[in-house]
Amino acid sequence: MFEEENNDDVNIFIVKTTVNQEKSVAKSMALVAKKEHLDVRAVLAPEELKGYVFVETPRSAVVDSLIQAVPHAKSMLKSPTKLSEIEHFLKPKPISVGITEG
Amino acid sequence: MAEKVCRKCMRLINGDTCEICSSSDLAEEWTGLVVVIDPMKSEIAKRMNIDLADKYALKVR
Ligand SMILES: [Zn+2]
Repeated sequence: MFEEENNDDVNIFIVKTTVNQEKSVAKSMALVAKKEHLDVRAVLAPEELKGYVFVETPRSAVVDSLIQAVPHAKSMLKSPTKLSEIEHFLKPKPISVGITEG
Repeated sequence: MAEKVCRKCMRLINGDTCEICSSSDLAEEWTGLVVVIDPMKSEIAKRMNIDLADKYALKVR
């Protein structure tokens, strides 16, 4: 599954959000990051995990700034996670379809 | 959910056609969101083979 390159030193911070605001928090974080020129590489809001988003950035201070600027972004968990622990969210799998063509 | 998702590139689309793929095969039902801001540096983007900064769905129906 892993390529030769080990990217497990990448910091991915976990931010608690208001439930059902995960997507809007992710979008707002991206807007703030661009506007304030913060070094955020990506923000992830998996459907399976209610009340959390993942922020890929080398610095936790950046995450603090985002939480202050973005409504419904509440707090950062102390320990960052690793890419290997969230990559199962990234694998594209189609939602099973129960609709017949008509 | 007003935004649709291009089934080819998984980007969130506001109009009726994907500007990147020129595809109009759009999904109205989708879940999960990844906002890629710096595709050159992002390991998440690399893992998803994304090289364009944009908003992407994780799953489409
Ligand atoms: Zn497309």
